Amino acid sequence: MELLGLSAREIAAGVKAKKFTAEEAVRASIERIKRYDKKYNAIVALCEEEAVASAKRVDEAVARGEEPGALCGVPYVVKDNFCTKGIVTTCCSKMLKGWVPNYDATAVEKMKEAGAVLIGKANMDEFAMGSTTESSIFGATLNPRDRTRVPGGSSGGSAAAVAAGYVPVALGSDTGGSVRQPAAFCGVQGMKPSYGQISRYGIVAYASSLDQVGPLAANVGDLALLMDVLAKGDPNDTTCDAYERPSFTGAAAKASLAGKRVALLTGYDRGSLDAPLSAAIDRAVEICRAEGASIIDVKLPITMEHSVACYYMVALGDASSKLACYDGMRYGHHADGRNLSEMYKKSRMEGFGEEVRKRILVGTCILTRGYYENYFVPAMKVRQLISDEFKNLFEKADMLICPISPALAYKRGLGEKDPVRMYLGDVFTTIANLAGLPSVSLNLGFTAEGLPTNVQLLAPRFGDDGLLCCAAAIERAAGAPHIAELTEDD
Amino acid sequence: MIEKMEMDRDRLREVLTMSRIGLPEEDYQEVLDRVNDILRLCDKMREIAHEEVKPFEWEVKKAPARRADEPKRWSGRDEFLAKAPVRDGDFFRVPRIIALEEEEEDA
Amino acid sequence: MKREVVIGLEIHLQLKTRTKLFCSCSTDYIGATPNTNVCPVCLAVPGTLPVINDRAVDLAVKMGLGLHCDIQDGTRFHRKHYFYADLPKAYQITQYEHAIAQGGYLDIIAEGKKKRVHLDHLHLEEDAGKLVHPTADGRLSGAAYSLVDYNRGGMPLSEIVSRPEMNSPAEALAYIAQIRQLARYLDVSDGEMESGSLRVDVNVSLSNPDGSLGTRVELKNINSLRSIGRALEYEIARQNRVLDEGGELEQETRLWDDAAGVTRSMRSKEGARDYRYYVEMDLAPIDAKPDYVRRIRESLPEMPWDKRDRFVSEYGLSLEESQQITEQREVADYYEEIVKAGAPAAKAANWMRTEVQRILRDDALDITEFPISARRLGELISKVERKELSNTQAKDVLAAMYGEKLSLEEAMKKCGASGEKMTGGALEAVVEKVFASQPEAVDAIKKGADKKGAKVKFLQGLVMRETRGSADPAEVARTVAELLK
Repeated sequence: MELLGLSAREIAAGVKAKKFTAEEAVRASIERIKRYDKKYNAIVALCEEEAVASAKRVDEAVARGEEPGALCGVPYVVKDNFCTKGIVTTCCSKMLKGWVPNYDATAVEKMKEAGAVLIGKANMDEFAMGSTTESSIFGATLNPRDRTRVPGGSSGGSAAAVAAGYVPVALGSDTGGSVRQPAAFCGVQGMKPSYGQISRYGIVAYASSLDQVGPLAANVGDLALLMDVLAKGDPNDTTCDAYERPSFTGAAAKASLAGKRVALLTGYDRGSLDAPLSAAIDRAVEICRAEGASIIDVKLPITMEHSVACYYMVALGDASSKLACYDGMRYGHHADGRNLSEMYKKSRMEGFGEEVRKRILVGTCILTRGYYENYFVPAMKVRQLISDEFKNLFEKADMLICPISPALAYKRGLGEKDPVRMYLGDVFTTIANLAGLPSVSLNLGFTAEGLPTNVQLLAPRFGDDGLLCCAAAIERAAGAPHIAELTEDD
Repeated sequence: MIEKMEMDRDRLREVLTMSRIGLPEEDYQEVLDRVNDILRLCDKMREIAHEEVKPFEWEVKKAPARRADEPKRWSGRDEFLAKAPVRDGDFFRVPRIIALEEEEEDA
Repeated sequence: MKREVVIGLEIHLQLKTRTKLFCSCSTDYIGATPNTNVCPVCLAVPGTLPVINDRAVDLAVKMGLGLHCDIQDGTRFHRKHYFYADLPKAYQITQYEHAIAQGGYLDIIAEGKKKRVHLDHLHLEEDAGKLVHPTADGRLSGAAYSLVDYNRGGMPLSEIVSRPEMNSPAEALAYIAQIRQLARYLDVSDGEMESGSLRVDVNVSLSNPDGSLGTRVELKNINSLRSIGRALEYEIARQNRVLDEGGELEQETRLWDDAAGVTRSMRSKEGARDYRYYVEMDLAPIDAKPDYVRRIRESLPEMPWDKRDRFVSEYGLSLEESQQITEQREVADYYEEIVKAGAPAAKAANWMRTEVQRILRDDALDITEFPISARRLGELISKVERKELSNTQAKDVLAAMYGEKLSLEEAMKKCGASGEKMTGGALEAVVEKVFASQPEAVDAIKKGADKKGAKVKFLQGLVMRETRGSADPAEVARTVAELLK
């Protein structure tokens, strides 16, 4: 049974209908990883034994006629900053090398309850600090669409795993674009739900008020299915809202843009975008119009001008705080010291990579006396103004279209050098995190060279269902992305 | 026009101690540049952060119920302690909290 | 020179919840094996998040209301950053700019005078773990290593910050005692300094001649009320001495050395710490709407000072008597039950302060463990009032009820305190018995050698004692005189 290219829904339906077994689906996934991942390095830990055992349990339950769960038998991977019980969780850092948590993140528990089978942990930038998945202690991940290019980051491994057809779905975490930008670079569908939609419990924190779990899939329908499974209240996370969620699968199934008011972001130089990405924006707008939506141009002056400053203050300040617990005492990398301070310093110097150390220092600086009052406090206020600007926008629009990245996937080792494009890239990715808005990174085809072109769709906070409805409609017209052709050659 | 602040080496040195992280002298400038780049981005932002603007707060659709005061025992305690890097019986053990004079000089 | 003493107090009260402030670990840590009341949250395991304890908020609001504070809706927590072995997250979750209870005051009585001390606020915060140092005196100084126990880490604390309005050690002690009494009345905290559920940081300064505030010194590590008094006396004297000698005082933190009876400078090299406070975004603002606050207010018991004053006016007790009886709420309740059972207020107060307190003290019991019900005791005291029993007999009955677990009736029977007066033949028998035990005295009287009648009085006294006071003194005198003939 050729399982490659089946969606999560199709796999779950197939296992339930006994067309094939969960074990077959899981083994197919494992085989593909074993065959190709030496070259792509998307997976840092493969849990073959546990996965096969889980799959067998799913098959036994199906055989007993038990209700199998919405994701029964579906193989998936999670970013290596998701705590997985009994399975090594490192955040791709020496600081947590070999660390085995004895609890599952709530998201992982929910996947388990739904019958999904965890195949492995995906590569990431160390402690989620990066946008190319080149700063991992396990080495860089290569983009399945083009091995000379990066998969984006920090959830590069998760996005690559889906693009490579290892698994139909994967989970990442998005603090400032870390799910949506890799989705764009790898050519898959990625989503950052509204802040407070999915529990953060068990996701190693970067920034408390920006982090969200983000699903990745090859189609919008699977994103919606993952939302149904994951988006629930959690007593272990009081920032996770307790409201009764609507059916996201139902919303995606509606797949309609009729009568919707779609806003197109303007007020920046479209010439700063790589031409294919600008074309993708135009194509998205055309599809919306054809599907019965009305289009308005909008400017978001406060957001465009100040969101990057605001984001850096919030993200780096919080990151420096959340990384202070790594002191070599109770878990993680330990180095001896002659005294307490020395022990802390050595453990942290040895455990954290250079980029992480620098970001901790920058974050600490901006929280110190003087800088806190004169810079951090205003940033918290401006964050409210940005949020308000979006609230006003969404009174006259149901969805906003804008780029996710000004650039196609970078060549490895290069990254973005142009300061204007760097700035724009930061704006596009961070606004959804600052205002807590749901955002989908949707693929609208590939360039002649085979590089993916994604666009970003945003909706009001807690309007995730409406967003999926629109995204599904655009996907129906544009087509869902295909699995990458992998090669074992050098 | 609000006064612009610039991060300097003295404060950076304090921050190194505050965050229990070291930095080779030759990297000081890079970190200072990073901080100051962000501060410069923030300068304009401060002008719209007026007195009456309230600091950011999430809107809650439905607040979760507060945690009831019921004790639970953690079954993973023994395993956790067994794997802790500085375990000493039922305790965690740390080296000399008050550093000796000579140790402070090296720091 | 007599400079005005200015004292401010920061009191940390451990809240009487069953679980910690941000996780479901038990708070029952005294005597527990180290690091057993722990979990991933309070050990700061990566990926964990704090979840606020419902009851801790209730208790903080309760205490705030008792202190006449304004309860604020929607207050936030902040992170206070520093590295130390007892702080797993390397930040403490506390309230910095917006405390849940603002303002407030406490009326105290010190050295006979009433005074109102205003508060700045009351806020919620989590406690740190405990360190054990393997030095001879258990102190940090000189320890080559230390052991960390996180059982206490994460315990809920309410910190009460007073304005610097106390002007003597006596006022400071009265304030602390009043806070402790209030906390116990409200069942918010055990308020015990010895076990650490009440901790005090003292700020003391001497005002300048022009009336401006002098340099403030913070005193830490004081573990009993008595030590606070001693530490304050020492520090005030020290500060006066320094100023008298023309020196300058440093704004610093000093540790109290109880054994040596002195305060010592902490001499920390880190300088003034920058805690980099900012909002804790893992926690939502604390919901404390007016309806909720009203419900808590309605559940408050009578305040200790109101009860004290009421006992003076309603039961005619002296202030001192009332203070003693209302010191502990359960004792006051017990007392009122006695009075309700018919005992007169004054007599009941006396019995509480003498007989009952003696038993409680001697057997180290709390009033809640006292096995004799207030009703029963009330009945017993009523009988004395109606002269059915003498005071002495009643004490015997109480001892029998307590010591031998007898009911009131059984105890009365056992003690021969049937409530009847000893008279007639029974009395004569007792007199004969006394005569038989005092042959010299009887002889002397019969021979006429008792000119002043002292020996007769002596015999009468013995008879009274034998009858446990249950005989009529006049009848005793008659009977003795009769039988001497």
